Amino acid sequence: MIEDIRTSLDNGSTAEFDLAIVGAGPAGITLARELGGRGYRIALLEAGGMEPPDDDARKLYDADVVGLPYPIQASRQRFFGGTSNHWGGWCRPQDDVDFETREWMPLTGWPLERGQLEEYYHRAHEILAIDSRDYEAARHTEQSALLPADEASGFRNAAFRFSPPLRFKDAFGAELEASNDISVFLHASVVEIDHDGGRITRVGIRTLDGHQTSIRAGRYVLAAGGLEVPRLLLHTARDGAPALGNASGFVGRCFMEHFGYTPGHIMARAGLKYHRHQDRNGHSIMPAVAPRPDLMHRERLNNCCLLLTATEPDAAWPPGALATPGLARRLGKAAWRYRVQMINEPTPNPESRVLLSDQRDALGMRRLVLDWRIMDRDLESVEATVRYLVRWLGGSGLGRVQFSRPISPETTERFTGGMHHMGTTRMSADSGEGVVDTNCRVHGTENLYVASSAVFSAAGYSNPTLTIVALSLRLADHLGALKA
Amino acid sequence: MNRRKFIAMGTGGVALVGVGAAGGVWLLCPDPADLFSTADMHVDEIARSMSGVAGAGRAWLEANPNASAGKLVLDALDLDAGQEISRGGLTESLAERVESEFANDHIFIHEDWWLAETEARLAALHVTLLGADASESSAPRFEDAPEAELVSLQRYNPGSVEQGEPLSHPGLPENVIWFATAAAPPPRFRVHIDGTSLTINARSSGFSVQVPDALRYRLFESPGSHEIWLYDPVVDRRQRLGELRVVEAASERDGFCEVAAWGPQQTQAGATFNEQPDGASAFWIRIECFPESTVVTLDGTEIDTTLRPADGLITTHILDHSLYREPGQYPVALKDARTGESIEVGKFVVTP
Ligand SMILES: Cc1cc2nc3c(=O)[nH]c(=O)nc-3n(C[C@H](O)[C@H](O)[C@H](O)COP(=O)(O)OP(=O)(O)OC[C@H]3O[C@@H](n4cnc5c(N)ncnc54)[C@H](O)[C@@H]3O)c2cc1C
Repeated sequence: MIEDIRTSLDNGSTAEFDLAIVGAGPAGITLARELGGRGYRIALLEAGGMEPPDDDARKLYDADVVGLPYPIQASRQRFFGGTSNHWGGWCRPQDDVDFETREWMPLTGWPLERGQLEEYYHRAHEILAIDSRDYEAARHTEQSALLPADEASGFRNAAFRFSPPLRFKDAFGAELEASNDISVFLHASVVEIDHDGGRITRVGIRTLDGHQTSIRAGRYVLAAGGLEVPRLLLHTARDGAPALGNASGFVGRCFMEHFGYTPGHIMARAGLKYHRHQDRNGHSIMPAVAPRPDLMHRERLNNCCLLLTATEPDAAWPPGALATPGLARRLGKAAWRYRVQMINEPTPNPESRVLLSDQRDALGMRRLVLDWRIMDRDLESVEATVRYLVRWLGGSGLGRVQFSRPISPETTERFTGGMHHMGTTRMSADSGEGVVDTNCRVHGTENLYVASSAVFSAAGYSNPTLTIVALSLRLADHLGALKA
Repeated sequence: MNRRKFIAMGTGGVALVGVGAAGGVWLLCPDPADLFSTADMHVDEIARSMSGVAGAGRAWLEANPNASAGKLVLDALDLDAGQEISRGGLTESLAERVESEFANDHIFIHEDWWLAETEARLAALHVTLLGADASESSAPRFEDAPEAELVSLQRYNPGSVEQGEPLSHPGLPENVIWFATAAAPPPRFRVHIDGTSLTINARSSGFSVQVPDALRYRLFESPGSHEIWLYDPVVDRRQRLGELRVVEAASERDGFCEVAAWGPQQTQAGATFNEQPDGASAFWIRIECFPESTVVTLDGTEIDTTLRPADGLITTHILDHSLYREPGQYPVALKDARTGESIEVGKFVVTP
């Protein structure tokens, strides 16, 4: 059932459920669908309606940006289906190395192993309608169209796959409408979480026209996106006591974004195919060059990938120059120039964070303040990666690098993010080092969970939604088992 | 005796190539890799052969005003100027040296290109040897690009726009032109219209471009046809895709433009012409502008008319075959039903 909370629940009333999920984006909808039919009566509480919000509702997402510039309004959607109404569909699971503790990147290391997500990744591909699960570009794109990134090179050919992109509203709206176990309440902005001794007792809901209701449930899941989840949690701080899950002080901290950066160009063999294309099986693929784990370990680098787009030659060092005998013996017949765009993994940085402002929005919630920062060591890693690229291409007769934009304070001001909000309620085995445990339960609470990229302990460079859906499926299994 | 030496001694730089035992024909032809010469001559020759390196060479010379680029190249390769070496041997040493310079960060940076020191020295030698004839490079220009088929174009829409109006076509967002092609084009292609270069949005069945307002308004200044080109800036080739016609705004038009073309212009008495699926005959008339209330007349009789102002096209639908039953010449005309004004399109010939 999908209902407008203003007409389905009386003002001032309280409704009882087994499970309340806050937010109907990919995380919340996946969780609800998985748990439907497993004995739970579920309330899926969605702040928006079925259509994009009007100006007043949009203002609820206004925030103060005090760190690096960030297009916060464009980065999320407040209506049924969440930001899947807007996303681009790029998908890729996290790499093994993303789960490792890399001592040169403080605070990295998931308390899970990548393998524990494998079966959930598998199903997440089905849900997101991604037609291939094979991310080895070399198996799908002709050898001659890829750089020969052998072991000695320190690099490899990774790949992205694509969801159509799946719009959760269109894909699952009818199913949820027909469901008997799941009640979707629209215009149901959760504004407060009551708790008693680590047990959540109720969530309070308000609408812009002043309608107020409550939901009581046995268990609660926050699935409101990587910025609103910490915002809701931070609101639970009271009388000097820390917010729920915040004994460690990590709620809202370690905000991570995949920062994009265009260091310049390379010249390499003609006809490389690093743009999105159909692979041999007719599946969409976009190869990318990425450092190998051994290079990352040896040189203490962050994970990242490099996207290459063919572009016009440059008169300063044209392709013809590289054709001189002896200058690039593995170049092949001709050279092209390619623009390099990097997608970079940030180090979890407690100073990069969201906090609450003293100003309030129209629902009475304190506005969000975003202070996005990137550590110097992340910038050094980007620069070092480009230097390894210079060495690899030049040192193996494959090409050259035009490094036009070495990193400086001006370039960091122009960094773009991928609209991926990660790390603000990070997962940790130890309650002193994070906000949720390995089952995504908020440390120190009995019945409060998080489904979101907010729980990512490290960011890798892969777009987050596939992993969000995989983690939601895993959480569903956990909650399903508890119910049984 | 090793083969290289034999060739050097025996033929003085000319390789014998042949089928020996099979008794085939022996050919005398030079194999550049096997040519023996002095190291300095090979290096000079390689430097002279370089293309587009004048800028880099001059930059190196400016940074090293008192150095001899040629000598430094030889030193880097551990060769004396007069030392005999095959061309292939020298090229291989050069490749190894260049690669090791990258591994050891022995770099010369020119316009952000990270070059091996030795290749920059070679470029400098090129400039020293050729002086004013050193090989310059210029960025390719769309205007000078040779034509080639870059895509197999099936159709595109819209092909015209009315002055002051957005481009529109059913199923497309405003100001977007869609090109249907047999295969997905690479995203590096650009569309050029009237001096403006537009990025393409590639899909599996074609690509689209968004026509920015600034370009649209400029096109509006001169009604007529503007060529649409596809350009591959990487291989510097272009393909003419068609044209975008800018037609005068309806409100600006007074009366008819000149008829550009029409047909069919003859039939046999009573025979259906340009037959339509429902058995009707049909004229088509190409004309840039015409009033909204235009009808086509055949020998003074108004016939069922369809106006497609955006395409500059008028078509008709004639089910009454009696209109051309008798042989003769019948005037086809366009008439403004509102004002009665009319222009003749031509004579329709009905043969016996
Ligand atoms: C332009 C753009 C392109 C993107 N492209 C990609 C891509 O190619 N690949 C990729 O992996 N990711 C991409 N993303 C990111 C992707 O959209 C998110 O990772 C994903 O949507 C997160 O899912 P979620 O369910 O956690 O949160 P959301 O999708 O943000 O959903 C959260 C839901 O919670 C609701 N909500 C918020 N606050 C409350 C409250 N207080 N009470 C009740 N409900 C609330 C919201 O209305 C919303 O419906 C992109 C994002 C943007 C903006």
